[in-house]
Amino acid sequence: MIALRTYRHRLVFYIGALLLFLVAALVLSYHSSNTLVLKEAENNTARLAQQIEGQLRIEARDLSERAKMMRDNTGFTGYLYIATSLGTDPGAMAEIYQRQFGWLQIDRTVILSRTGKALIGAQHADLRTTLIKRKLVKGAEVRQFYHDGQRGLEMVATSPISYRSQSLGVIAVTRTLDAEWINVVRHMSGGQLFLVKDGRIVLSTIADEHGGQSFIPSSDRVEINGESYLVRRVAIGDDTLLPQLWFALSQQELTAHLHEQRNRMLAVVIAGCIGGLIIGLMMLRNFSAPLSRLVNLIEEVGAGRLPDIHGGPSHDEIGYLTNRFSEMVTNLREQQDEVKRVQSQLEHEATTDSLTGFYNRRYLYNIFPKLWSEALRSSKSLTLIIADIDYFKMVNDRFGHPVGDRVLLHFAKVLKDNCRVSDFIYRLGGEEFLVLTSGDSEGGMHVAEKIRIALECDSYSDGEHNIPVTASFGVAQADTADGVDGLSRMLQRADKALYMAKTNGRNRVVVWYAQRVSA
Amino acid sequence: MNNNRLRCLSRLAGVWLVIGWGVAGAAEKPSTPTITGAGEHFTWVLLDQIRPQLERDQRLQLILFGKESMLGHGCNVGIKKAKENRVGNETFGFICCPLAKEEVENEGLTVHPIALEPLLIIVNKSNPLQDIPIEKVRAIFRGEIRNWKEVGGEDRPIVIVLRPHCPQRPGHWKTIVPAVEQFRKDRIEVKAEAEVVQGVSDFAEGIGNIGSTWVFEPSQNIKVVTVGGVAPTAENLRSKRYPFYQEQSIVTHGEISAPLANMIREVQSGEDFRRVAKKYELLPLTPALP
Repeated sequence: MIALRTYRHRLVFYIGALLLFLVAALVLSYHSSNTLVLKEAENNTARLAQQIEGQLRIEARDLSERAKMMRDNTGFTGYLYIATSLGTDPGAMAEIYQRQFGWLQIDRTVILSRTGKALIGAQHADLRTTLIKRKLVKGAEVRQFYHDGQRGLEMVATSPISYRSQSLGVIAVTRTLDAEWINVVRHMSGGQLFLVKDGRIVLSTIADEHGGQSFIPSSDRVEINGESYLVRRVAIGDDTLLPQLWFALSQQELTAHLHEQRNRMLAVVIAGCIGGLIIGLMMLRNFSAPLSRLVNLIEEVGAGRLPDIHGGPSHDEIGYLTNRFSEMVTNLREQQDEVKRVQSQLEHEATTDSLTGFYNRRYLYNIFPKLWSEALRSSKSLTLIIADIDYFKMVNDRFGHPVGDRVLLHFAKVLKDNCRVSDFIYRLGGEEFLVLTSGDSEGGMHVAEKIRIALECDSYSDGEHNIPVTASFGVAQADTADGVDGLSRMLQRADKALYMAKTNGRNRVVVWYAQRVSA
Repeated sequence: MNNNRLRCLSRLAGVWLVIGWGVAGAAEKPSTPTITGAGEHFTWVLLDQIRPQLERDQRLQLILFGKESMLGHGCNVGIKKAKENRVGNETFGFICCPLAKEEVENEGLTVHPIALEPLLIIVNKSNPLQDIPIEKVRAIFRGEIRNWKEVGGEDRPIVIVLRPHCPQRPGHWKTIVPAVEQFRKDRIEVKAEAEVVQGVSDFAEGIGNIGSTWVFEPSQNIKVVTVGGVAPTAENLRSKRYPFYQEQSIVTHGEISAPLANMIREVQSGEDFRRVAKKYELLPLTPALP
């Protein structure tokens, strides 16, 4: 199961599902419509073939009506009677025929006497022969049949003709199923027509070059020049020697329509997909992306970070939320900065002396392990110098604490001016100071001596008071046996040296060596 | 009186004058009687040709039906139309054959003879014959002669085209063969004079008869032959040398109005009719007016 935890994932999933659905619908509809169209085309072929058969029946009936019209025209039959009984010139027959029936839609007319003599249409010998063969010259009924003659396949309607109850012969009128006829029928039916004789195309509604080509249907389908047709025979009579009329629907034409439809659907699906993608992208851009950004920001804030958020001019819900959140984060950051500042100040105040600005004893204890470790790594020694102003209590007592403080500041300045940059200066309390310097006790002794001399030479003077200031110094080198926590032991040793300096007259430097002290 | 008022009054007077003249004219104008006639084609030809003169001289409106003999117009229609005569609806008929005495009496009709019309013997234009003796004409129509070579023509069968109209009335084709039964049986029998002409035109072997007022069309292959060397003229009818004819008459029913009586008298004896009769070789049956 795919976990769709985020809107982005859901959107991508939904859009993908939509596209998949559209494509599947397209494929499914194409396949189903393909089958449907072909099946319907088969039904249509049969139905249209039946329609053409119906059309043929109507035309045959009309043709019979025309034959009857001639039969029932007494003026015409009177002429026929005279012509047959007297054997007159046939010109009169032709005249009255043309006058009375010349407008009728008939291709050929043959009128035979009972003896088989052609009274009209003597030039149509083939039809005359057929009428005689079928024994229609002395027939008594209206007949219809198909005839394959000089002009091709013809529909023939015959009627016996008489005058005053005296049989005169037979009238035969024809309608040729020629190119014009099959094209008219094609126009009505919408398919193609093939007139086939002995398995060869005699006439068709498609291009003339197909004439003479083979036409052998199989399972109601036939291939002509690589084109497949659905075909159905149009029944025009029982005579197997007659040409066959076939109605056909081009499969390519049908599928072309289908393809056209499919392409339209494809265009719609593609447009739908593109639309879906655009909508999805717009949703991702306008909804999911800001939401994800907001989520990331919340995660960052949750992780303790307060990133800088640049709120935009967006007025939508997410934009509003982001802007409010941005303001909240900004406020938090400002408050955090204030806390840091205060903390830093507190830390500073906790580790420095407010009067001189030197680190205090607490900081000394905090920093010493680090300095000790560094000294060990660099194979250097650490030396402590404790300095204590001589008779400082007397200064306070005599000149007051403000002057005492200024004397302390004066001493601090001397310390600072005579120590190296790398040295650390601490105020341990009162008039007692400590210098932590790298190097051995000899170096420490020189630094202390330098300070002592500088102080001795530089009395405190503020225009009102001129106070000579001296100090005593105890120097002790750190021993590797002291370890990281050996500050107290070092201080004890330095304190002892300082004590010896005080007891030996002050204003001097005493160095503590192991098991001995040297001044 | 200024010019404007004078002009206005003169215009008003003009309008009144026009209105008064129109009303007076309408009151004085006599109503024109309308007379309707119908019947067979031949007399219609005559009447139609003198209709403008009759309408002008007799001050009447003449409506005639009979141009198309194929549309059922004929002697019977003429008698029927004559019997519709009423006051205010003057009608008359025209016929091409004399009525039997019984028919006249029973129907209350009055026959007004106009003229004798020669019956032309017509053959196809391709027929080389120009004349057929009278008895041979009758023999041909009776069927006793069946081939043109028997009368000096080509060796062709003879085709008779006949319209045996008005068989109960005397005269007309009966001057050729007195009864329908005596005509040759194997003939082309038609119902209109136009079909007679058409039939003879169609058959190179054809023969038929038609009144002399028939107007032939140039496309028809017809020619008129003389009978026994006698041409079908009014003069030969008068001298009784030409034997085939029919009688054209106007027929009325009951009392007829003065305009109708005047019109009939004018047709029978007027100068205009004489001129038309001469054109068609008709023999008028009423002396001309002095």
